[in-house]
Amino acid sequence: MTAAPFRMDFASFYERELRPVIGLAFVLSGSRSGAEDLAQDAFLKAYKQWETVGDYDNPGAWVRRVVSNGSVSGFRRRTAEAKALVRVGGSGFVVPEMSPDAVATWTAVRRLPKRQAQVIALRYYDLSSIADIARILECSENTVKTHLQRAKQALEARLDDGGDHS
Amino acid sequence: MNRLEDQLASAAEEARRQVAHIQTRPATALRTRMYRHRALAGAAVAVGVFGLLGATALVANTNLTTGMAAAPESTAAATTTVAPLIETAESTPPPASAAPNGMPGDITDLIASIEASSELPGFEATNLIDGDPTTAWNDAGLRGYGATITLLFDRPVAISDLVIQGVGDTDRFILNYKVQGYEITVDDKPGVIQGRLVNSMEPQHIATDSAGTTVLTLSVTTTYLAEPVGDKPPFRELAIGEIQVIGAAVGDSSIPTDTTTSMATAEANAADGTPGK
Repeated sequence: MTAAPFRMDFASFYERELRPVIGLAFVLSGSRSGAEDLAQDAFLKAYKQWETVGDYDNPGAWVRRVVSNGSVSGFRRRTAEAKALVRVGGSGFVVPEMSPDAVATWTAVRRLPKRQAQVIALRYYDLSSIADIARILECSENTVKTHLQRAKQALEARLDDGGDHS
Repeated sequence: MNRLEDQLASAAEEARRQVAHIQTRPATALRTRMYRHRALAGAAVAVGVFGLLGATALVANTNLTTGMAAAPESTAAATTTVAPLIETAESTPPPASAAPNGMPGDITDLIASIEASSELPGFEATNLIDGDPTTAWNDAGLRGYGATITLLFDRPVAISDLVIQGVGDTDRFILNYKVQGYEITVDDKPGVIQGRLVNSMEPQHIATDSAGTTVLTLSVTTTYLAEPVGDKPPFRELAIGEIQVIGAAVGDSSIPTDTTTSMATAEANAADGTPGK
């Protein structure tokens, strides 16, 4: 990424980032079909503006921002459409469900204030650094740290309540 | 403290596993989505984005073309709506004798149309079924990324094997990307048939074991690299020389097809029911 001698072409960018971005949308929205749709929309936006987005230092940060911000607001509206779109007659993959622990964890994350949920998803799902998160969310690193701290406190309290706190 | 970190890490890992199974659409699908956004509204978007559903709609059209025996009024209007399809030379239904019922043979002639995710001008998908492995299909410089080939039949066929052959010219074979991993879907089988080809110019058989389908989609999931030959730099395209379908026509009498009634046929029937258009 540093001093890339050429501009990344859209297809490579899409290929590299689509799945991680769908994953990010998935943990933030809680719906796989909704996540696919959100991610497709974000990449479609990137594609339409590739002249500028492709020139950014980090188009990956751009598309993560679009998806993170879209997750909460746009998701419900899209669910019906997404259901119709996803995998009609497609592969018969049966994906094992997540464990109840994992489901509970992400549900708790989604109940956090939006910014905190985004920070947790980016940090633990996307494995972004604090600096990367700051870039993605367009805020300072200190702000990221604050959100992260508060989110963890809240999660600890909530997850412990339901856990084996003997 | 650590417990939360662990909990988040393992929840993240599980979520990653969830999306690892998602079949992502190729970048070309995104372009289709954009065009559809512009051109059409609502349900039509689905047709553009998701290959098989797209194929479903095309099958509906194709079936209209050949009239499905019972709906003679529908034949006239049909061809106009099939823009992306390459029409076969004859407008009459293909000969029923290409392969007698139950006797597997080369039924490549029964392909009503063939569609590729992208094409390099001069290297169209029709080259795949022209009987000449030196004429090739090339994708449009995408290195095989997201490449799909869709074969449409205007009546159900049982497909035992799909035969894939690289470009029948050594230099061009090496210079292009070649199919490595593939996924095949047919109407009557849930899930996908996955596998890998070897890096060879020889025809390679893939067992498909479909008892009756009107569409077969081949998706290329990985490729063998294009390599230089002498001082010729490698191409950016995926190439396939020839595709052959081994199987038999079904539906006339012996093999019951109603169990295979997929969305495709259901939709085609629905379309047939309203020939007014």
